[in-house]
Amino acid sequence: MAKFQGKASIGRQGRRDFLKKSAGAALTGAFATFGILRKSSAAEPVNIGGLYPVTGSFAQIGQGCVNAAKLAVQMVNNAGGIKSLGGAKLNLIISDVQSDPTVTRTETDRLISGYKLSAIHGCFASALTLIASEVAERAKVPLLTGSSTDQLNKDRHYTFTPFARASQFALAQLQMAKLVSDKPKVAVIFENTAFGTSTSNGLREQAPGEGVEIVMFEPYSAGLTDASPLINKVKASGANMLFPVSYLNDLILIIRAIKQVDLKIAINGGSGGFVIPDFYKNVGGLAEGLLGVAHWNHDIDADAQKVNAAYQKQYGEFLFEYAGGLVAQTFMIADALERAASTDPQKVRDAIASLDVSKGYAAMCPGGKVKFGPDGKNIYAHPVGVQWQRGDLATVFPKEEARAALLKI
Amino acid sequence: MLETLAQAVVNGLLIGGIYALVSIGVTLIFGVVKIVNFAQGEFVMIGMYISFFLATRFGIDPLLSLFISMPVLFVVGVLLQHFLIRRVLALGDMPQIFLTFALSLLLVNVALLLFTADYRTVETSYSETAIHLGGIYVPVAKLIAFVVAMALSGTLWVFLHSTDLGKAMRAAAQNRDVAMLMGINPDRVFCVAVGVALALAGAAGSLLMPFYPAYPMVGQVFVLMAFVAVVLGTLGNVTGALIASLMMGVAESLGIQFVGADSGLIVVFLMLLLTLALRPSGLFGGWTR
Amino acid sequence: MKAKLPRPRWLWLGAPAAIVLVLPLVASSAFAIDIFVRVLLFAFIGVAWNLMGGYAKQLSLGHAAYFGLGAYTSTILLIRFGVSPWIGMLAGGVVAMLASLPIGALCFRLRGPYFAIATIATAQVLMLLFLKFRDFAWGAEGTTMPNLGNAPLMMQFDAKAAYYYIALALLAIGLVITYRIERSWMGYYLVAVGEDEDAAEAIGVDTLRIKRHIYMISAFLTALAGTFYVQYIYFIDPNTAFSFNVSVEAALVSIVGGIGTLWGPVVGTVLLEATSALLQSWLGSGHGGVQLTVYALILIAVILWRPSGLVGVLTDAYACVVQARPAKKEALLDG
Repeated sequence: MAKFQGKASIGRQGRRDFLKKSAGAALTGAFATFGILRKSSAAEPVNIGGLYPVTGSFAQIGQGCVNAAKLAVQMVNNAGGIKSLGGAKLNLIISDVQSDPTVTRTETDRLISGYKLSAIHGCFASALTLIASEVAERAKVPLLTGSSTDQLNKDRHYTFTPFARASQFALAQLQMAKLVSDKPKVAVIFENTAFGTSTSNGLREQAPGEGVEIVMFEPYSAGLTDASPLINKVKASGANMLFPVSYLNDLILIIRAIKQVDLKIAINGGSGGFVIPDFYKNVGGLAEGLLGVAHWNHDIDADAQKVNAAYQKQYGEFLFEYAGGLVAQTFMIADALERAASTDPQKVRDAIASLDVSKGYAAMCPGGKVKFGPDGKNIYAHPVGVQWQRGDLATVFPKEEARAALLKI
Repeated sequence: MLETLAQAVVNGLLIGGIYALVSIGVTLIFGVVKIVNFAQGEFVMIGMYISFFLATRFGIDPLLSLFISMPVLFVVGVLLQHFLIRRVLALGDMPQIFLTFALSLLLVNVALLLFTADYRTVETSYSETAIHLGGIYVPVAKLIAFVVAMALSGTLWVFLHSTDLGKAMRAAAQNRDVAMLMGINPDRVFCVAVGVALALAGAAGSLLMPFYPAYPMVGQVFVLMAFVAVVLGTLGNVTGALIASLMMGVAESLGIQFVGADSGLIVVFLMLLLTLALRPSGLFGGWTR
Repeated sequence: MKAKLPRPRWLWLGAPAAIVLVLPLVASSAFAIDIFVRVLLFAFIGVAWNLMGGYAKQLSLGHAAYFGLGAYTSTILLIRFGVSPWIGMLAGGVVAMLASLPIGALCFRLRGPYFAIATIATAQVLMLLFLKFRDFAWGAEGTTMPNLGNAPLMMQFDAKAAYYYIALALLAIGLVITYRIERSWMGYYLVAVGEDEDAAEAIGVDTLRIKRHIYMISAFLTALAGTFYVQYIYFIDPNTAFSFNVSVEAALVSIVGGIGTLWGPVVGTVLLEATSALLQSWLGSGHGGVQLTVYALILIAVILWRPSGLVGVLTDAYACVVQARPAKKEALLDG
């Protein structure tokens, strides 16, 4: 103890310290440069980046996304790669954004500048995608994403969203409410970060127009220790339908708490943690009949079913919403590369902007058509309603796209 | 309305029991060893995983697995004290706080490596059932957790007040030097204190398993509430931690019910800040009881 | 007898300074600059924290409160009122300073872990409040910085290097302030309060006033970092701005590097961020948990082996090197 007490009061030797500082800086520089030199990017393959939270709070979904991204690239390459570039293979560069904003910022940068990326897709969580999209925008590299926040379509030229937006999810949920009851009285509970807030606002704004009455509208702090107080409140509100907008851990507690107090209420769990295999793994039979919405599901068309089969074979569980969506995105990128006949991000961006497909894996989405408007939105994008049936997710809404009958519970 | 209020209170008490198990551990360690164990939540997590694996591999009910998780964590606690904590005891606040903080970081991430981020749940026959008392629902799993938590707390109280070792612990908490003069071996006492605290955390984990999913970061959800309870109940005061935990569970529940569902934490923090402003040494002032 | 540097002395001063100044221009990639910016920024935050936590030994784990206040002040001024973040940065600093008064008044009644927990609570409360303020502070969703292209007057740059120099300047300011305080009357009082607050009170030091002053300075500097950070990542939301991770890292780098020393936070940041960046680029595709496990192990190692931080190790190493040439020293020591 005496040693460092003394240090604080004795005058420093400035030079000695500069030496330390410069050694430190040089060391960092060496580390960084060394780290970069280790990676060699081959000239021939086309580099695309995949940024997902493989660790941290979104780790579960992030891992699934990475698996799907690798599968998608494999599929593109097995089909011959990019023919207009001489059969060039796609080279997927994955980065773990650790569910952290700073890491997302630096990783997006690192991938773009270190690997000469032609396009990127990511990041699942809206907050992270917003950051990646800002970086991509400034670096002029196109980004495709399934993240639903409407902010992603504002003032951007390099961000493209092939799938449904948060406000559309909300509308679908409201319309599905009428499948279950003529006079839906809905309680909306949502986690108080970006995902929950944007979705729930969409619900509140559009409810009157759909003839749905919202009797409770409550944000809650994600990471519940106990869902009982919340459910108690739902019960007291007299709602006959519940829309929880939550991540998986809270959903598990919410669903169980509802069962514990014998609350008979229809549930539409929205998207996110509700439509992943882990949900069923954790609540089992309680999931039966629960409704949700998704921007992609594995039964929407034959292509989706094919990819699902391949994924299921390799990973043992069905291909979930975000992961399936990004497979389609990979093919959209491949399609753009094909037409651009170049790896230059600007040309690829322009090719994506002029994308217009209605068949093949690139069009694997609800409605089967992709074409981007000037704000980067797919003009045909809309969500589908899904229902848990026997441990699997079946598309049940809208009627024209339903692949299974709605289970009445 | 009255029913809603009563249900809210019941909910609060039940979860308060779990908070109590975690916070008593923290306060015990602080009272006796004088360090704040920021990793306490991670030992709850370990308890949960132990119960999870016993349940899925051997079909042992989580409540029974208490008899395994508690002794295991007791031993872990003794080792922790003897090999790690002892080395920083003389160093002052900061290294101590950061040691347990680093431990917390280490445990969460090793768990992430070993078990992945997947949520693990255990279904028992009573996971979703509830007892109806009038219009109030009391979930069975939580009721059992509460009862066991109270029983363990009671046992600890008796231990601290009626056994020699327990009294030695309280003595060491009150005044380490005098205790040493009286022939109490501080090392032994500290090992027992940390061991008991971690055993309680393990118990909390096992009790949580029937109704709460296990995942690497689960401890952090509970540890925050536990810390507030510890400060509220006066650092080092076991009874205080228990009462404060129950109060906080109820306050959180009432806050969610009547103020707003996202106000639970704010209510709790406001309680903390108010206490610190008006009665900084906690509601129960003075030394370990 | 203190060891003196051999001649020519200007080389010892000039060379490192020159290296640091030209680093971004010779760096091999934008990613390298990113790492440097992170190092400089977190070293700066560490230096700001160190004033409170290192010298005065007030272990605050809630510095994110000021980080966030700085970030939100400048962002609100920018987006709602069109004010340049340069001014917003200073405004943020002032807001943080003012906030530190009531927070200090509340928390300074407590010592040690009590104080730490109270500071954690205040940062959390601020986060929860900002999650609720939808109307003028965007609530939970946060907002991105408007894309103004290359707008130096609005703290947005195309050139990465610009961010590097700003961060470097901030760090330099922090170090200079620390250096001056260390040598001033305040510095001595700070150390006294840090060593033994009661004894200091007993000999007539107004400990409360000292703590308040240093808290204000610490808060001000941390707020500057907050503004820079959100300008750099182009995004702000309550979880990011008031993140517990920021509070922790501020303290972490100081502890690992050397609490209560001028260069401690810098050394700590270099080590931790370098390790982190290395691991990230080696294991980039995510073996969940490895990186932080290593981080944690380093921290534990430092605490067990060198609790006063690594600055001590470097100083000793240096002394070994210099003292190894006694004969030559004789000739050089001419005053």
